[in-house]
Amino acid sequence: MLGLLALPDSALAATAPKARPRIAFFTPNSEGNTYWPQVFRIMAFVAQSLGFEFVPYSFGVQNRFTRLRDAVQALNMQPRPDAVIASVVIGQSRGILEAAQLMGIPVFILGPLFPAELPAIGGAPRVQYKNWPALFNWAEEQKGHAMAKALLQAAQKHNAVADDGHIHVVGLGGDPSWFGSGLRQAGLRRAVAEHPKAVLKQVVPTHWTQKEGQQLTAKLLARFPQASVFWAASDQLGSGAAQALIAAGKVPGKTAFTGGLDLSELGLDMVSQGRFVATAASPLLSYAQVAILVYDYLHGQDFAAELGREIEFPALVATRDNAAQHQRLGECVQGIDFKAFSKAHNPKLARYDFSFDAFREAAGACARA
Amino acid sequence: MRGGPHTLSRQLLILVMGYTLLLSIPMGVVNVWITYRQEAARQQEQVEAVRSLFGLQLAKAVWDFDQASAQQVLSNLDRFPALQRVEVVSPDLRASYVKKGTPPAPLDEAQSYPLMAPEGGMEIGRLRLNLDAAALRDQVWAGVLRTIVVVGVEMLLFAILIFALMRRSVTLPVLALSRHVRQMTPDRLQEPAPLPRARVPNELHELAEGVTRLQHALHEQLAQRDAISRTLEISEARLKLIADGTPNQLWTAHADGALDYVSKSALNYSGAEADQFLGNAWTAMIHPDDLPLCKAHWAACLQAGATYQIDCRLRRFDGAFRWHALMAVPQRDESGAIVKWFGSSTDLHDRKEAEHALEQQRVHLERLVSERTAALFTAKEAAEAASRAKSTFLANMSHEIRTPLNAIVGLAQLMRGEGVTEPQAQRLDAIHGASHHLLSVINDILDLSKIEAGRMELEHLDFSVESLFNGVVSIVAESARDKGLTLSVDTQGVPPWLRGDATRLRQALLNYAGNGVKFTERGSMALRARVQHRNGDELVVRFEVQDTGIGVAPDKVPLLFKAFEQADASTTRQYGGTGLGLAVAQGIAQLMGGEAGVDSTVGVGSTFWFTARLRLGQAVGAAAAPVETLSQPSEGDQGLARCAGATILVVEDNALNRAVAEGMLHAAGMNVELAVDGLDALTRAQARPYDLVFMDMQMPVMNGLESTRAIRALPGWANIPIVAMTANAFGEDRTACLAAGMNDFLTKPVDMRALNAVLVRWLPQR
Repeated sequence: MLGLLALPDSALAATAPKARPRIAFFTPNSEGNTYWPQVFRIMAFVAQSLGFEFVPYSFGVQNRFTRLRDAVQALNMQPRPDAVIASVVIGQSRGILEAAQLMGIPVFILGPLFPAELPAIGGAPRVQYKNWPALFNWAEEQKGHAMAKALLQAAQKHNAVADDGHIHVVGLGGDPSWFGSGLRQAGLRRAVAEHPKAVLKQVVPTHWTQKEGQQLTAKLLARFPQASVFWAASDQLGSGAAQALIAAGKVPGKTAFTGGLDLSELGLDMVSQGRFVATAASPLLSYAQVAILVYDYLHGQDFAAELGREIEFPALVATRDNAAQHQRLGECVQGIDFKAFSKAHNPKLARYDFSFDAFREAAGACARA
Repeated sequence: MRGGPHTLSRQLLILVMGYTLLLSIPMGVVNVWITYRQEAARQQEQVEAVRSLFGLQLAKAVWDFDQASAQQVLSNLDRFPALQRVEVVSPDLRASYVKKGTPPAPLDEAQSYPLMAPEGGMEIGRLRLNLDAAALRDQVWAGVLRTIVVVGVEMLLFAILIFALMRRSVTLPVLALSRHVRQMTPDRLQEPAPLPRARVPNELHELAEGVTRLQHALHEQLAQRDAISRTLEISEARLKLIADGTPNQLWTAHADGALDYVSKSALNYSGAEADQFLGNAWTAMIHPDDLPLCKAHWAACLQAGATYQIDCRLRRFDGAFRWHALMAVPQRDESGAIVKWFGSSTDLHDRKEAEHALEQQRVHLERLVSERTAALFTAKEAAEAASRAKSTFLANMSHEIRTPLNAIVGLAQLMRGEGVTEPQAQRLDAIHGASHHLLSVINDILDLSKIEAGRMELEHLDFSVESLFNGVVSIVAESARDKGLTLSVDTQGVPPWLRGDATRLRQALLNYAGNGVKFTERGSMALRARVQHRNGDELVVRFEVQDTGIGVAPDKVPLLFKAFEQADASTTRQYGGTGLGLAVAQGIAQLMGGEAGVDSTVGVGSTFWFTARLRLGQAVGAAAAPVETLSQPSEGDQGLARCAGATILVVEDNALNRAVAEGMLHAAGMNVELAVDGLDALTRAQARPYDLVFMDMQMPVMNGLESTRAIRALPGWANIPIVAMTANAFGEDRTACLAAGMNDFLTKPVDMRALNAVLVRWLPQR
């Protein structure tokens, strides 16, 4: 434990903290994506609040090799970032870590990572690569499971069963090159397995686009006409699915049931409109938490002592009952003073508190309106 | 000379090249076929490889509606040149691959395979593939061309090598040999043929050595031919000399019959020139009457290849036609075909005339012989008829004499048994004696008749010599004793058991012994048997009866064994007898392969003898006595008393004989019923059973044989004894009776003792 604690110190001592560090953010992107812009906006607010330069990079999801090349190029771009937060797909982590190590740039990886990749990068942060201080994970399996469970409950409630007496489930999966896609599907499969009447007919991989959600749902409907549950790995996919269902004469929430996994504005709107049964994910403010921890780290406040080197954000489910609450908080991000959450700005802060309620509290009256 | 070797080499080269090319054609065809099959298989292997490599990926892409992935997978197919077009056909997506350079065309004649869902096993699309026929064709042609070039060069080089080797090893030695043969002349025959240079001997060496041997053989044959030619000349001259000198006319003809040679003798005989014979001119020499037959026969022989042989008349130099024997034989070659005819004609006119005269004499004699033969046949028929009449007469005579004699003997016996005075008894004995004498005369006549007719048949049974002599002695002993004669028997050296007809031997011996006793007043009589000759089991036995009687004068001896003759007519008057006994004995001896005779001195005595061929016998027990087994008195009065009271049926048509039989049977203590013929007996037998039946043979209405057969068929009559009582005394009569079912046989006149013996033998003992 002492050894582990010693690692960030030495890493931090190598470079003196800048007054306004440059933090790059590598994310995937796809056509018409609405999720990452929403994240970027939050990160921008955090950067503005704490005082760091936020530089987002979006790489296409079609070719992971191109993504790696572009990421390395971004690392090398002048001025070089002081830190990088990277959402990686398979085979990307080692390349980024190698390049960043050469440049002396710490890299904070947004997981999850493929287990098969871990041995090549030391299995955990701060083991093989000193410039890899932490791994942030979101409860992807839990998301997939919670969403599927909500959909099955709704289908069962409306007795949306096929001729064989089962609830036919189909899924719109994410990009398989990201390990999180598989975990989300695992959650779906677990929920189906737990349900006495559910049967999973097929999960189709996608590149996250709404258009895919629409087209593939139409095709799945043609292939499985009696399917009633359309699980989607993102709010955008779910939105496309809802469009296809309506076009096919289905009534979302009554004869067909779908939802998303991002807890994004789009998803929350769909829930509010009744087209989604639910959207499940960690709140987008979890990215604000990441930004605060990275900022603190760059300023000598190593969060590992309190939170560990691998941090997981739990998932929440937003249904029509609580969607408005999430929507309001989202609308109030601009009013949050994120310095209150940073130990660099508040050296006396004993413990971090990134709870939903803490953010609501920070948002003040806006969030409570 | 110039063209020879070059031609052979060129021919060899052309042949080698030709066969090489010829061989390459089927090889090429086979190669095309094999290459085609291999390339087609490779194409199919590529199809299978694509299916196994990309089938699952394509199915996954279809399953995931992933058009891009499907197209991406198909884009890898340019590594498979066999594939011209590939299509993924599915309701959800369509992806295709077209080989570069392929003109746009619909996918026809494609192989089609299902694409199965990774989960659930449902068919979600099909993978259709079209093979590139042009690529296949190119591959085949490339392979074939490559093979043709490689193999063609190899075969060409091989052909050249073969040609060079053949020329060195075969062509050149053959040419040398050919040159040697071509330049061969009779005076060079002993030069050896050139041998090839090859170190190891081969067939060409054998050929050269064979040519050398052939030369030597030819050389020898030429020498032999010269020698034979000289010999033939000598032989021909000698033959010509013979042919011209022989009195026969000789000629030869071609296979078609045309004469090509006529001997000088023929020309001299006919006074004609050779050209009057040669070809077919010879027919002018034949008598016109004989010519058609001669020509026809000659044509037939030419056709069949048979020997020509005919008698016909030929014209002599003086114009006279004389009989000739013409003969011609064909000469054939090794295959059997006729190559020549050799002929001759021989003048047999004189012989022919002599034969004619002889033939006339023969015909005359044959006619005479036929006439005599017919006369003899008639005489033979008459003699046989007379013989048959004689036999019938004898049989009838025997029957007719025995019938009344039976009454006489029987009545005399009955009267004797009923108590008479001494003078009456003496007269009755005289009647009895006279009757038996008459009976013996009849028996002798019958036996003699049988012997002369060749109808006496001999038995061949084992018998005891001792029993044979005892039987004879027992009969004559009483008479000998009455005359005070000493009687002895001597069979020393004779086997105790012999095989033959003991009855006839006994009869012959008895005849001799009876005469001995009759003609001997004092002294002795000896009965002897000696083995005169022996060869294995066969013996010749001499039987003798020697007496000390009156003897026979030498001039009378020849008459003794003739029937109906005695040495002296007064003898019959003095001693009685018919003189038939000796004739019968001689007849029996001759039947047995022996002879009979007598050695006698007047006043001293006689030795009558006969010989018989017999065989060694085997002991058969006491039953095999040389006596008749039927109708012989063998039982005493005691036995008769035990069967008294039996009921006897007597079947007899003669009333007197019925009365005699009834009287005899009553005297024996029997109950008697009488039947007058066979039918009467059958009727009585149907009515009741009897203990025994005496059955006469010759009866009116139904004879004894018919009656016996009918009675035997009646229920309960199978085992009741029926005994013949008949005047038919012949052996065949007895056989007929036994065959008809009778059990025993009594001849008339019936002797009372014999009758009683039959009763004792056949009646149940009470």
